[in-house]
Amino acid sequence: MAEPTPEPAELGAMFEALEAQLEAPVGLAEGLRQRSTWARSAALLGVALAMVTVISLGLRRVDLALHPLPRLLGTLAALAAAVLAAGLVVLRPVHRRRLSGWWVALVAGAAVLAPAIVSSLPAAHADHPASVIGVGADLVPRALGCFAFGLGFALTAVAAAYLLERSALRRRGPAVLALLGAGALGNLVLVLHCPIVAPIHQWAGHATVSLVLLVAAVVAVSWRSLGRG
Amino acid sequence: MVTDDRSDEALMTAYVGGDARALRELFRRHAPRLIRVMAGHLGSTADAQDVVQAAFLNLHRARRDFRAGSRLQPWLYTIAYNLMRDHHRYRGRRPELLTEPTGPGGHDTRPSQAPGPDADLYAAPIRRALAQLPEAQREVIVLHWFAGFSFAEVADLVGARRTAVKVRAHRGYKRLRELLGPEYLELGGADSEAVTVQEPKA
Repeated sequence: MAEPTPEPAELGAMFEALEAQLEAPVGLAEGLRQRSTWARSAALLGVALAMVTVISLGLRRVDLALHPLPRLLGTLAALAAAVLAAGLVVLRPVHRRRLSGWWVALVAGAAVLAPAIVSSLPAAHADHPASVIGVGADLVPRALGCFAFGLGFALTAVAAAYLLERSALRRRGPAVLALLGAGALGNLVLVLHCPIVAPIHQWAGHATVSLVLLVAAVVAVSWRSLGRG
Repeated sequence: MVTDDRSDEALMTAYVGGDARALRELFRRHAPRLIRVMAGHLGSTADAQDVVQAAFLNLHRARRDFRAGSRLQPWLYTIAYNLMRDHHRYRGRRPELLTEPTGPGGHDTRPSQAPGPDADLYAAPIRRALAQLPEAQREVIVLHWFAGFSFAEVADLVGARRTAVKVRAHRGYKRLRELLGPEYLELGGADSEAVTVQEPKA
């Protein structure tokens, strides 16, 4: 049986194998993943801020002046907090102890609950014509439009997380939080963009972005659990 | 062999700056003990070598996170411990279920050996006893007993206060004595006093 401490020759062979891995060509994605945690965090935050900027400058909701400001700010703060917390855990550096499962579950729960709570609130107002549509026969087409819009932004955020997270989202915690954090970001973008205030539209068109990504996270976790054998 | 007398931190800083030889020296200094520590948790030299190799690969990938003033050893050990936990999770089993080569009939062919700094962590009774400890206690005991770190160093590595580490070690060693029994402890002239929680004087 091999001794616990290898012989110098064995150590040398180990280092040569390591060197061979280090000398392999580094592609764009691996180059990004080898940047410092500060640089990776700034890049991911930059992607999120770019989305918010695009919406705020060109695609912002038309009822902003009529929407109660404290509620709007509270909604944005809750969703932004969930997005930031998820992003911080996703990009947590490898030299820091892993967070316990409880912390990961707490952040995941916040990323799911924040959009659900925001969507369940009563209509903020009914003072703008664009805010009272999207119900009845108009529910499905409007909800589908919002769902596609929000999901597009969310998947862009997942792609950015994939490029910046060092395991390429192969680890369960980062993968789940990238999906759920992206869902919260998709909802944040929709809050800035969509003037429809009916809770049924919010659930059908906005919260479903998070729900679909939650299902994707559950499937990913189950698949990996099965894969463990 | 020419040895490099620079500190770990100076070597890491040099490596970040492009001195590829610095990593070889860091590997030479830390890999043997880290393999021993990981083997104490994983129960297998091959798995421990895989984890240590991956730890150095991760050290390389995260090199730009290293800041002047940081200490390298806690960095490296935290990376290795994270990988070791992933390894357990991937395997979906605890270390007591890991098997070591056994003789015909499934009996362990390794000679028993007394606990102590030179203990054979492959001896089945030690493996089984260690595996029954809570992870926090096992971590402290492997670092202190098998790897020979002082309690101050262990505290630094696990990110806990020295008093908390001593309490964990005290409880862990007490439990180990119960699990291993007096017969085992008498082998090789060791007695229960050989497994104390006194900080090494060195």
